[in-house]
Amino acid sequence: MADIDTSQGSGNKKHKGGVRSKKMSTRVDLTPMVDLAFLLITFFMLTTQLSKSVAMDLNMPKPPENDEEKQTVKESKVLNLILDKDNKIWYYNGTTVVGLKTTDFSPEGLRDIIYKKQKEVDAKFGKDKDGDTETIVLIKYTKDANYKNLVDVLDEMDITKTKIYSIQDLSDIEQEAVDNGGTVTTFAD
Amino acid sequence: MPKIKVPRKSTHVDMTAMCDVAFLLLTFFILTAKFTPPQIVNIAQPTSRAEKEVKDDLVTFMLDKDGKVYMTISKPEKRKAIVDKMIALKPEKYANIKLSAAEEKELSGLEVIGVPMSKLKATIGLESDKMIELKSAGQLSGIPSDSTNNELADWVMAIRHVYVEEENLDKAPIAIRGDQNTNIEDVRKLINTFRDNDVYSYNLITTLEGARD
Repeated sequence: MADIDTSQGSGNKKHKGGVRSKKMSTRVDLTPMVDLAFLLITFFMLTTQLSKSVAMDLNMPKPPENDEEKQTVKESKVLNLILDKDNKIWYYNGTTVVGLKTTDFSPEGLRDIIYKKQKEVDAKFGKDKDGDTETIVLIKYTKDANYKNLVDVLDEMDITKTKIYSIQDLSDIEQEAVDNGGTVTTFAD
Repeated sequence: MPKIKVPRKSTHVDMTAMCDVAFLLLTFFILTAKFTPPQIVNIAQPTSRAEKEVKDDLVTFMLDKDGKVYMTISKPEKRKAIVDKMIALKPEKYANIKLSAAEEKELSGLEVIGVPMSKLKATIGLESDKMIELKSAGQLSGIPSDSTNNELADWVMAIRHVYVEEENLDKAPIAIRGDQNTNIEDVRKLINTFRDNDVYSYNLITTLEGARD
């Protein structure tokens, strides 16, 4: 109730004789109505879907038909990302699986690493004719990663304007490195 | 000396104004609310910063969190064409699926395809709440995509034929709508199925970042 009973009880009242009909207040207590209205508001606010679905483009390359079509890339342009469980990302530079470090999806994590790599690559090779970075990001994943991680990484590619990236399978050495917490014991040539 | 009587002020708060505001807001929310139709396949989409609008003519492959694949062809009139194409392309596999004229008509009402072709007949003409019932009873098992019976690949092939070869579009309007928790390997399997059928470019449907999903 929106008001507090301040009447002092009937004891103090002085009757001046005669039966007086009690004057009813014309005020309607709106409190329950307000309660109801807010309840409904809460319901509609929670069930309304204000968000819209959006589409993200994904272009996968055509698989090369022969070995000649396979592109060779400069090792120093490559940044490898391995998506792991619990939103963890392992990353290393180049093609040698060494010095794996972990990061996460926060802006200070993955994004900074990509920007840093882009800076290094830009300093060494310059930008391409469209003014884009020549950094190549290879996205790999362990079997514990989920779809959200993939979408998040692709999103980062868009944010950092990385044009060249590809989704690849994890190699055995990379798997071993991840299992060992970032270090490799066996070395390939 | 007479006692000074302090006039007692009523503590009654006028609720009318508050009531007005509450109902105004209520009206707003009722009018702007767009109820999402009951989802046959429950999918918690991941969020992204992509801003492209979702096209209205899409073939969406839905991946639920267990990795089962369901399909929605958003243009009803395309559903029959795609099923026909599929039967025409693989007669040895699907020729025994004979749809009556009435069933063919009803095919355009089939919102979600999530059964093997042999069971497709049973889901034709079902209302979406019936489909939800089937789903919860475990009857909608998804489109088979294992190596012995890869119907998913046949669907993709039929879709590509209908859109690219018959309508001369540059690419089939295919999209993936996956659940956040879908294992990435299931996504990869779907992507590889697309690749094997010469579909290299498609959309991932996500929820706009910052918005509530």
